[in-house]
Amino acid sequence: MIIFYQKKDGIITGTIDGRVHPDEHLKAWIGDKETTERYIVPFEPNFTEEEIPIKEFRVIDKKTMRVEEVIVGKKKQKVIKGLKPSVPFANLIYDFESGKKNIYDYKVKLDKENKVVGFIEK
Amino acid sequence: MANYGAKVSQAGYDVKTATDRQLVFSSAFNTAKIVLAGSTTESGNAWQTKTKEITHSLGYVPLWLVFYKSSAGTYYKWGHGFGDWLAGDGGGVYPTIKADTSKLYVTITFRANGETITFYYVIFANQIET
Repeated sequence: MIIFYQKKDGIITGTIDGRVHPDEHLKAWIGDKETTERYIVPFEPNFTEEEIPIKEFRVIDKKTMRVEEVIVGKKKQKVIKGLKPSVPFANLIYDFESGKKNIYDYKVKLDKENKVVGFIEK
Repeated sequence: MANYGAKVSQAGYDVKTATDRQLVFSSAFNTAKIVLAGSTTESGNAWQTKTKEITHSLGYVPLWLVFYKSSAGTYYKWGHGFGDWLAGDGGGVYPTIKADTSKLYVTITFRANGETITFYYVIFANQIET
């Protein structure tokens, strides 16, 4: 998600949907470049640990030497389940994406260096 | 001529031999591809006209769709771009939406004081004009 906001007061003026942004998204802009700024919400892989089966090929029938793949155990492995916002206010981003909360009811919260550090209700 | 692409068949059909009707998807089909989608908002008072520009920088005039909803309204409406008074549903606007090779222009005239309109736009890779 890319969020456009007014430089002077942090009021949100537009969005571009998505979690991975190709060039077309990065070249796009909503509103006047002089008076608006953009915030690209950073996303990172969502690692989770899952139990996955350990499979081996075993001879099932010694007469015919028929071989089958069988589960011989389980092991824990890190897997990537999608992407998640890598910010402390990730839940709010999920709510904006799903439409549970209207992004235009909020404005961006900036620190002294004008970096986005969160959102506040208008 | 090279024959390449991607196909997905319906359940029960072999993708290698399925006819077009038996496919769920084929990259050979003439389908619309979304390159940009999102929203923007504009506020104003009665008879005030404002234009919001969405810069797409595609270098050609793309196919687009815009839907909009008034802060006081219930329904999302189709912003067809020809301009039309759309009364009711919490006031209304006179939307004129147009595109060129670099931007989508959403111009609105508000009918009610303190009205906010949210626009949902979709811009496709398909070209209207090169």
